[in-house]
Amino acid sequence: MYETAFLEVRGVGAIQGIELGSEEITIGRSPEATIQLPLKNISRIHARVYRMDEEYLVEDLDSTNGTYLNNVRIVRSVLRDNDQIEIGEARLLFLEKKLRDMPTVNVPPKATDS
Amino acid sequence: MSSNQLHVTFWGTRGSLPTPGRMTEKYGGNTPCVSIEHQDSLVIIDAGTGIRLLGIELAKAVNAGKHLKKIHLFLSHTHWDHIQGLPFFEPAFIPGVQMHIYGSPAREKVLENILEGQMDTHYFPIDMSMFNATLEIHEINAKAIEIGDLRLDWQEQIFHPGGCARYRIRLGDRTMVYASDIELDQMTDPPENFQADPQWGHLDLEERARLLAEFKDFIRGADLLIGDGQYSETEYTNRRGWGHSSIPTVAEIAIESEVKQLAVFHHEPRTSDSQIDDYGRTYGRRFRTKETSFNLFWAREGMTIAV
Repeated sequence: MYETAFLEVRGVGAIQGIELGSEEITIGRSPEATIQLPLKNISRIHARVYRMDEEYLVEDLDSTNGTYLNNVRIVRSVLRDNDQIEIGEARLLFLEKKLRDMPTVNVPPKATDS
Repeated sequence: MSSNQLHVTFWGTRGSLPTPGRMTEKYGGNTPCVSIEHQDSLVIIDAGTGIRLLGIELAKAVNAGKHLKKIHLFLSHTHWDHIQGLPFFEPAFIPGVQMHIYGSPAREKVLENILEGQMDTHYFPIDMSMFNATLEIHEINAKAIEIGDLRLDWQEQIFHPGGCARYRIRLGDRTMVYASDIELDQMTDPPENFQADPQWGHLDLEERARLLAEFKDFIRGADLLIGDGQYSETEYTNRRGWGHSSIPTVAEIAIESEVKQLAVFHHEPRTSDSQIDDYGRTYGRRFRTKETSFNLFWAREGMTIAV
């Protein structure tokens, strides 16, 4: 189990660190995406990062232009330290260790229907 | 899943021996296993230790009430790194599962006996009769097999001790090839004294050229080639005759055959993740060219790509 894992988002303004927990994170152009990337060549909800058992995975959500991991177009893949997810012009670096000197955002749990 | 795509998942990518530990967790330490899915069709190639992980996923699906697809498992050959996961493949123990296992008929022993042999009580606590799935073992007697919309054909590969089969799967105009466990360098750059080699010395230069042309024809234009690249060129000099290729040789052959993407496979057990990352940079610069749009990457456990 990772003690901490982060996504470092590059290509959209200032570099931002997103701490990953047990909640799924979606990435896309839509304001509904957890990480909104208002860039060309990115689908509304393009991909997701989620935890399964003790692994984090990235999965393409049938996007038009694809999700790449270290230059390989993937459907889904487990993530390892320093993996680079490429979505359109954006780059998301997966880091297993805690980032220093970087503002981080804790992603709140999704609201659930009751 | 798009109806005109194959989903190819790497469950085991390591050659020869499982290699657990921090040094191999990125590219994986399980021995060869690849699944190819299209709608209701599930093809698995090789039953190295990676098949255990696939089996867990399939068993989870069954427990969640999903209908398990008929399983078609093709073995390239029966060296232990390609069959040793089979006794740990959970669906084999689930009643009602239909499992077909295929392999080359060109072996000295009967395929069924070889598989039963590794579950002999000297090697394993239970024997194959404990499998509850309906099991059919086939020595392939046709050039091509249709599985749903998939068409699979195969050829025998000589340059691996004991022989090895390569497989090609087509869906419409999409093609993937699995051609692991072959020493391609024996065809492109035979040793000076190759005639003295007790296993392949009888194959003259003309025959090696013919076998190379046959290999290239088989992989020509493939969208994905899963190819043997166990050694760097430096390592290969000490491993001639072991039945595995050097990375530049498989990459050059792939480019010459207009393969679109090469997944370098069957990683050497001693090679760490950081070394493979180095290979990716070094050979990537050398072989990824804008002119050809050829791509190569090192197959990685837990990765699914669309073909």
